[in-house]
Amino acid sequence: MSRHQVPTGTPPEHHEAGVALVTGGASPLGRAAAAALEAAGHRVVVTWHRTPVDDRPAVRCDITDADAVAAAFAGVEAEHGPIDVLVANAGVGHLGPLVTTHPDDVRSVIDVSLVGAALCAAEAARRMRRRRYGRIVLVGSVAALHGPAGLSGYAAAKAGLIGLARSLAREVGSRGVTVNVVAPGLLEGSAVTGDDRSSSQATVEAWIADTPLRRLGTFAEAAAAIELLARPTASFVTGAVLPVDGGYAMGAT
Amino acid sequence: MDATVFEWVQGRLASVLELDPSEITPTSHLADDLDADSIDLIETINAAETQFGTKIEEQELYDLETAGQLAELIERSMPR
Repeated sequence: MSRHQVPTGTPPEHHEAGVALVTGGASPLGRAAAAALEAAGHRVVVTWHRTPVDDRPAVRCDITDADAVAAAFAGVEAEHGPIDVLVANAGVGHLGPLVTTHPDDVRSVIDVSLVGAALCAAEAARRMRRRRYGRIVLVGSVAALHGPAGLSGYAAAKAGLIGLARSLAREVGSRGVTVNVVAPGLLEGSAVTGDDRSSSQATVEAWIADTPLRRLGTFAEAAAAIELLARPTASFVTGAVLPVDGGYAMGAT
Repeated sequence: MDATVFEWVQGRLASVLELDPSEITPTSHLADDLDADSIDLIETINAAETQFGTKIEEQELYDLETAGQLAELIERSMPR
């Protein structure tokens, strides 16, 4: 080990609680993740695109635009300090069978949920590598490997995040930067299960029946897993996919 | 070795690696002394392309050992 190297994942000696940047800060899971990280002592800044966030530090950012991502990171670091946690949460889904989905909808789902996450992870990794410390948490989904009917683009994007996390984990591991995926299952109040839910009650009930914990999850439970992987002490976990699905996809992730 | 090019390399590596420029000498071993990895070197040659108009392939980085050799590679890759 050379004199400049520190054990993987050890915060530098000058390390103070850094900034946690959460993309998609207006979404329910983005809000829950921000709250969990704040409760754990992180200074949290969120990004938003269409729905403004006004109850915590926030920056508008189109994550599909690499220049906008670079500018947002630079702005956040100038104002709030070094970003040592990235939660790549922003994503969109499109409901419908692939054969009847407009090509633009396929592209936009991949562009936001996969390419956008990749651009944010790249910018974060670029900065964290230099400081030899960082935690990157990508918000995946049980859909990635389960492949629910009607969510092909979303499932493709979320599956893509797993490969992205594993490659990036190998590229930046020597610099103390970890990259992991949290894969929530069905959550109460989500686009699939909430008031404007896209799935029938029977589908949701069948899902719950196949879930060992016999219920839907909460945003707070998914956020707790994100916060766990963002801790300095999560220093030997990288390239992992952590399901938060009540056991639904057990054995398939 | 051109002193201007080496000073530029010194500054870039110091920035990329968050080191003091004085810690980087022509004989500093990129991996063993400076803990520079391939991503750091690719970032440096990309910056050199902007600064000097050099075209350096990533494969040309494989055999580099010292900061001085990196400066020499950039120097001999400059457009004439």
